[in-house]
Amino acid sequence: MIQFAFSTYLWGLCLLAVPLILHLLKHRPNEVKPFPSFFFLTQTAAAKQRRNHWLKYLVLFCRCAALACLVLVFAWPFADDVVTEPSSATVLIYDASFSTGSGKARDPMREALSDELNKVTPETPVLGGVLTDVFLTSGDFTGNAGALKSFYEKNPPVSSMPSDFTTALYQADSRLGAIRAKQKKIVVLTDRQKFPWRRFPDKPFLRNADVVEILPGKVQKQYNCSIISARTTLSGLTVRLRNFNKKEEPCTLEVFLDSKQVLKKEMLLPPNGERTEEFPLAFPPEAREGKIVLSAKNDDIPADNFWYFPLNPAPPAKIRLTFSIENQFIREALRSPSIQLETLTRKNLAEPADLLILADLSPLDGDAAPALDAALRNGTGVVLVFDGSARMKQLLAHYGFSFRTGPKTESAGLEMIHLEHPVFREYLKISSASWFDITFFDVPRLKAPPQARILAAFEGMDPAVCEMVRENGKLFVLACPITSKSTNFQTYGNFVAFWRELADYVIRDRVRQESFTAATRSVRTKDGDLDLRNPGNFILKGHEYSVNANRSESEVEQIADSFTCMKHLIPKPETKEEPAYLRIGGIRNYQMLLLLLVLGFLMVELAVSNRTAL
Amino acid sequence: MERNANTHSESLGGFLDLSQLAALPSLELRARHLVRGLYAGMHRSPFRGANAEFKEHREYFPGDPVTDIDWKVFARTDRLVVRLREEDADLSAALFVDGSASMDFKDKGSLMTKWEYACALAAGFMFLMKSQKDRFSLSVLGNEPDKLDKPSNTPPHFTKMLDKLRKKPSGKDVSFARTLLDAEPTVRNGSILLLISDFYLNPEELAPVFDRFREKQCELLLFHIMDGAERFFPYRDTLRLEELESGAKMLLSPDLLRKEYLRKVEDHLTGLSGLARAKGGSHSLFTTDRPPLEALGSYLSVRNQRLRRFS
Repeated sequence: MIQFAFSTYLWGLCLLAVPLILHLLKHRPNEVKPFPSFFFLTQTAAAKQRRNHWLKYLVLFCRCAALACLVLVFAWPFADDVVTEPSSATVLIYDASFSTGSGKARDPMREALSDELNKVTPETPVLGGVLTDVFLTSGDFTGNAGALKSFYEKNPPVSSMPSDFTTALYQADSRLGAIRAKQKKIVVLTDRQKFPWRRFPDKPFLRNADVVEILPGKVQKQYNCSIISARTTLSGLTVRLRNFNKKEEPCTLEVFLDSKQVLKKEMLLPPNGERTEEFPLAFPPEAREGKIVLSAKNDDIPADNFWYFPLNPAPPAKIRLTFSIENQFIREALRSPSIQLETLTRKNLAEPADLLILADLSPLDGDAAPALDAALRNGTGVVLVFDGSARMKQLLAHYGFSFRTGPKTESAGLEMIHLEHPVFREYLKISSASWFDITFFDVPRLKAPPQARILAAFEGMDPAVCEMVRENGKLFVLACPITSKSTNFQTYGNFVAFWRELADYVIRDRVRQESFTAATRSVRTKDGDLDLRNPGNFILKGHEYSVNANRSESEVEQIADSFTCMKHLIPKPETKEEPAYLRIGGIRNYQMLLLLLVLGFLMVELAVSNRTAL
Repeated sequence: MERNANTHSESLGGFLDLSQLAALPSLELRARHLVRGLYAGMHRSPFRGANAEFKEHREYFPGDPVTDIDWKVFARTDRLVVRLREEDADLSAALFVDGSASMDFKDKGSLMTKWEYACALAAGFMFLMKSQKDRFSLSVLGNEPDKLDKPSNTPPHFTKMLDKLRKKPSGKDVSFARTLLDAEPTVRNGSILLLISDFYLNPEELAPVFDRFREKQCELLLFHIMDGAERFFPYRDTLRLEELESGAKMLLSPDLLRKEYLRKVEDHLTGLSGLARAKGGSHSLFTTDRPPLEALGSYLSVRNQRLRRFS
């Protein structure tokens, strides 16, 4: 539709009266020139008279047209591609987290969805969206309700993933910014579960939306009992159960291995509380799939009543460390379901292990070097923490480490950290400056052999952490014990992460992740890509993997009836609407065409006007 | 007075130009100046007569006048030969000057009207003929019938003819052909007819008139006077024209008509020229932007050359 940016200039069309009046009052030459005879003119003039008649009207037209075009140039006509501005544009967010799978939530949500789709017209376009851990949209805003219904039918209404309203609202708001409408609306169809709203930013962040509606307005409160987690240990299976109801809930727990029930237990779950159950379970010689089923009377959400776990022959990583009170935090740092921690003694020194941490040699009698050499030869990782003892110094000398002569440094900070090394690489993602704030006391002046790689160094480049490949294993040397006596211990958290990364680095090849949480994306395992969309047990190249629904959606607490998202809307300042002709894109203006027309008409006028007897 | 003027004009010789000629108040003087500058050696009679200078001998044939036999030659050679002599021209010319209203036209670029130009030419011719003792007569063709006087070469006759030119007749609705036809009985056989006009009429209309004169063995010399504006139609802006002869007015755009107009003019000139040649005469175009002195000189030069070639 053609519009004018400066329509006032259209008054200039009144100027068209000028050539018209001039035409009507066209002055005939008053002066009469004498001429001898019309002997030669009479016939010629008569023949040209008709052509002249048309030419003078052509001249008049050219003058009027040139003037009109000139006026239009000033009035700045343009065509807006958007024929009419929709009265409203809506982004419909359908919460497909597994908590919406209960009948209490699903029916009113589908009803609300149907109502919203019935309102769709070309005047009120809607962008459909399904929300799980990602926000999937129908493409573009459309006034075609059929296409939207088809979109919602194709996408599963319930998934095993949690919903992330923050991301969804950000994206919906962004999409609303790309469409012109008098009112921009976001409609969230949810079971009113409180959990997805907990991590919402407090400040307003929705720039484009005018309204955020949460539908349906009321959802009947749901009952739920859930398997929070299940963990296989060397000793068996540990299962955590939770009752989200206010009353004590009787339930039945069943464990299946390869679809065969191996355990069934009746129990009572405390009101709004947890219960942990441990069952003996031996690791089979070959891969088997495990499944735990929880059955409760008052349970509306079935998705979290199942837990899948893999039983693969490979046991958890075995780490042994010498016991000492001062280094107890190392044990805490390494506590993990995938790690079997043991105290290192003289007896088990020679037994197979993934990692040996020697922070104190006093529990070990005799020369530990041969046993450590054997361990390294078998691919075991060894960590030696220099505690200042003569035995440790002797052990380090066995591996080529020596100490410079001279007094010890009373205190020193770290000067260099090899942040590209896998042990320290993760620190790049967080603030690693705290490492350099740590002060170490009585720092020994260690001298590393040439084949050792220095991962961290004290001031003066005295080695602090060294790595050396020895046979099939890796040897790590820490020049200073990380205890309260040897450091100021300001950043205990840093050392926890350090020990975990170190252990992970050493035993990476031996331990693999086998349990995953459901997600839209796939994950790459050693045995291939694993689709995480559906919970269950999956075998890849003879190795068992399990996928379980995200338990964060088990929470049944609902948002209050008065809950609103209006506080997240950024107030829109009263700004004067930007003129349409200034918008980039969607605009066609005709300035150049009009100017060319003006030029063309003037040229025709100039060419013809002198040829007429106007 | 006439003598003084002659002396003065002779002192100017052939350097007179049209502007100087036009500045002179007297038509008679203008004509004398005009011809003086052109006269010497230009006019030569093509006829042979008894009282003229010896030209040549030829063998006698029975029938030749016996008086023409050169007896002295017969006495010396015993042969009969006849003396042939160059005869002085006893030219009788009739000048017809168009006095129609269209002859009053003068454009900006021209120094005189076509009438004045025609008068200058006519006076020049008459002066030339008077000087050559040729008899001539003049008639101005206008509304009023102007009787052609008896040809003469006397000065009073010359003065009388010039007086005729001084009186411009009313030239409205003049039919050149009809008026010329009316004057035909008074024209002597074998005369030279000098028609000075702008010839705004179809050659077809003139053809029967010329045939009449042709029958009387008259030589027709057509002097076509045109103004530069007529000839080339140089107007550009829209203008309103008034026809001098009829008083009719016309609004026209020259740019629109010029091409066609010029083509018609060319056709007309070609037609007249062809007609003149067909009737044993000649057609000469004179435009008023060229000095009459120069134009007449060129004409006479060309004519004399042609006469010598055919003599």
